[in-house]
Amino acid sequence: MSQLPRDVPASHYQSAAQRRLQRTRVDAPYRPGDPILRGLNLTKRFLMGTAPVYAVRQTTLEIKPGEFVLVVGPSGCGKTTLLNLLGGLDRPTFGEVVLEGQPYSKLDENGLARLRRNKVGFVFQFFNLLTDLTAEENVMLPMQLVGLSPAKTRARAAELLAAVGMAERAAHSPFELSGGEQQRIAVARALANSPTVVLADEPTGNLDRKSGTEIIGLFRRLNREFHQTFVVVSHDLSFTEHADRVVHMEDGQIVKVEAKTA
Amino acid sequence: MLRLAWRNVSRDWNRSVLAISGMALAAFVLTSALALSNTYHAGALARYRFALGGDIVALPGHFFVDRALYGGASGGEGGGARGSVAGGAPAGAADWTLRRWDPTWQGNLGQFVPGIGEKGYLAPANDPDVFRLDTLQASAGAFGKAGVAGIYPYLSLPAFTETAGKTYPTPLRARQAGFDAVWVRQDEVGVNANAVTPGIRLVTGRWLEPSDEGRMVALVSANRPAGAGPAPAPDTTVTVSVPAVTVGADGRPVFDYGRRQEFRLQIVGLYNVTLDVVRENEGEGGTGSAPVPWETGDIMIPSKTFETLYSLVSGGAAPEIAGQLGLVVKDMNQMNRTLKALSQAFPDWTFLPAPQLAGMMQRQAGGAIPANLSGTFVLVSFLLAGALAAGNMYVVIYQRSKQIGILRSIGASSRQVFGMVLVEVVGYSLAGGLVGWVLVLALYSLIVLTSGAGLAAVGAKAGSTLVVVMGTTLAVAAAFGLAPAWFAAGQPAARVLRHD
Ligand SMILES: Nc1ncnc2c1ncn2[C@@H]1O[C@H](COP(=O)(O)OP(=O)(O)OP(=O)(O)O)[C@@H](O)[C@H]1O
Ligand SMILES: [Mg+2]
Repeated sequence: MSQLPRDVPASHYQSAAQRRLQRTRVDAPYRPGDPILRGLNLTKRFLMGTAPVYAVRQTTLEIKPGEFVLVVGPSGCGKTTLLNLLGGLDRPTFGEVVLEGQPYSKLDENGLARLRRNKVGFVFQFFNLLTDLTAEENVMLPMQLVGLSPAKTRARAAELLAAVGMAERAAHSPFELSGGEQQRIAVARALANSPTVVLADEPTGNLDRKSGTEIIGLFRRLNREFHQTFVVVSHDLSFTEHADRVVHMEDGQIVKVEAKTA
Repeated sequence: MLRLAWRNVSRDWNRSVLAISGMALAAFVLTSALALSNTYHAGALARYRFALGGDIVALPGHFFVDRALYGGASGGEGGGARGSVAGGAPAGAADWTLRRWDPTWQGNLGQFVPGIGEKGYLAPANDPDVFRLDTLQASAGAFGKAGVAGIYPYLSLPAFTETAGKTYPTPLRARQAGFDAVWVRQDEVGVNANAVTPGIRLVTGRWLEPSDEGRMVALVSANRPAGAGPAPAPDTTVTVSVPAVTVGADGRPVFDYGRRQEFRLQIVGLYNVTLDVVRENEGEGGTGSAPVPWETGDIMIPSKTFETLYSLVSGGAAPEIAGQLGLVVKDMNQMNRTLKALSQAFPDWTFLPAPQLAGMMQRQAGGAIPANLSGTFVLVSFLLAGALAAGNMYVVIYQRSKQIGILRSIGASSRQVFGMVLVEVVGYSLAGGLVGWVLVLALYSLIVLTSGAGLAAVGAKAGSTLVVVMGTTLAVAAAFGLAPAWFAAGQPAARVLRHD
């Protein structure tokens, strides 16, 4: 016990048996049908000055392929933090994330970057489009990062823009687009490299009700049509009807999971 | 990523222009500082080469420069000045006498070290104070071995001009037309490759040229001491009356001021020498340099012409002695070695290099020059330029932090992000450096145009200035821009995104 950090309660540590179990699970080869994305026993500790803050505590969440998961919970409960851990934007203090059999802890920063550009699509509350580029160029960017040929990149961008209903606005700057339209561009960008999973953090948080509903509808359609896996964080409980599973978080932990049987 | 970098630069031109201007200003400040500090030396040197007619002044016998009068704390004028003594009187000082400038030396003894004459100098009482020209030939080989390219006896004749019924002393000085012409053209002589030499100005007309040798032409000072009367008009002739000369028993000339011969000389140009004097700015706590005009009534004539005139007033005799020699060295960069070789070959003589005289003269005229002035200047400018570039790059990178965060989140590797910022930083630096270079050239040209020197010098300088400016801006940009870029590229994506 003495070698453990003082500020972590002993209950936050896995037993030896748990750890062994986890190791075997992590190292197991990925088989179709297995959970595609797994957050295992995740703990994220931030230091506010010297005081530790546990944004996520011993949380395990597994996402099956083609699933549409909604994460809800009060502000500050750790939803963004959890999503960042799942997407490899941040590293957990304890625990492991595995995407299609690939444990994140085995990847260095550039390995994580490669994983993000190939397998993860992000959609943010504030869209986070590059304002110096046009809508189309924003969508093309992830493909350029992986070195797809210009012709293929252009063709796929057109396809994606059509899929999100923004084909006519391809040449526009983000400044010339409404919030809802910008978010559609962001969705197209997230889908550019056919990611294993799309992680959306409050994608409707900055939109009016109508645009918000449209975006969620778009997610749902993409989920149905292309079997695209989604993990969506939202305040808005009215979206729960769209989700296959609703995960309730409180104080860094998952307190309730509602699964719907379609 | 290249496209994105270009977009970053081109999307907001106001910001880009600002960034480029910042780099340009940094480049400009730095390059002008470098140029000015070079020019400061080269310019002072050129003025003294002009005044002295050589790179090194050779004086017969020992020469002691009074430290209190001329020296800083640097231990007398040391260097090549044989006989100069740091910290006090030389050994056997009892035998030394204070010599003051003797007006009768304005004969063809032709001793001339500007400024020193007024306060006097110490020399051993028994020193010879002339060079015998007929014996100089024998020494030519030793001079050449030491690195001397040309020996020019410093010759002058007393002469007088008459203006409005009054007579003024206006000594005739023999000048090697080629030597003057070479360094005045500036672009051909390494030591004075800088165009900014406002101190020597051709007020009007042209310099003496080799083809002038033997012709009755003259260069007169535009800036004459009170009593010497107004300068003659350019492109006119000046009539000088020269006393008859006989050679005395000791070889020295004896002038008969009652018997004079008149000569008409065609004035080809008016020159003006100003000496840059560095002063402490009172109250402001800094130093500044003030141009002080060198007042002289001297008339420069080509040395062949001088010989002709001399033989006419002496009844056929040639000058036999000179008070000092102007030595032109083969390589200014080898000055110290040349000086050492010379003092070994001619232990009884004193050799004063023009740079040392320049420093001496400036100290005497305007107080102390901080020895490290130019170094400090360049350092301060470098820090200034660095701070400018750093601030500039910081703003550029800081504005990118959101963009970098987004790029990281969608999976750009740190190398890709770094490459993008690199393109941008290099782009700004190159553009800024180019603008800075144009500014520096413009400044050069302006100075050259207003000071009447040749434009060729600017052309000669352009290439090397470009290299210096580009090199420094790139170095500064790299030092102050790449570090933050590297840092930004290495940030975990989540942290960068949290910024807003
Ligand atoms: N980088 C950080 N440094 C320190 N504390 C952090 C950091 N990131 C998150 N936290 C803290 O962790 C807790 C969870 O934050 P998180 O952003 O995950 O909440 P959230 O559920 O997304 O909230 P919201 O609904 O308001 O977006 C909060 O108390 C927050 O202050
Ligand atoms: Mg959040």
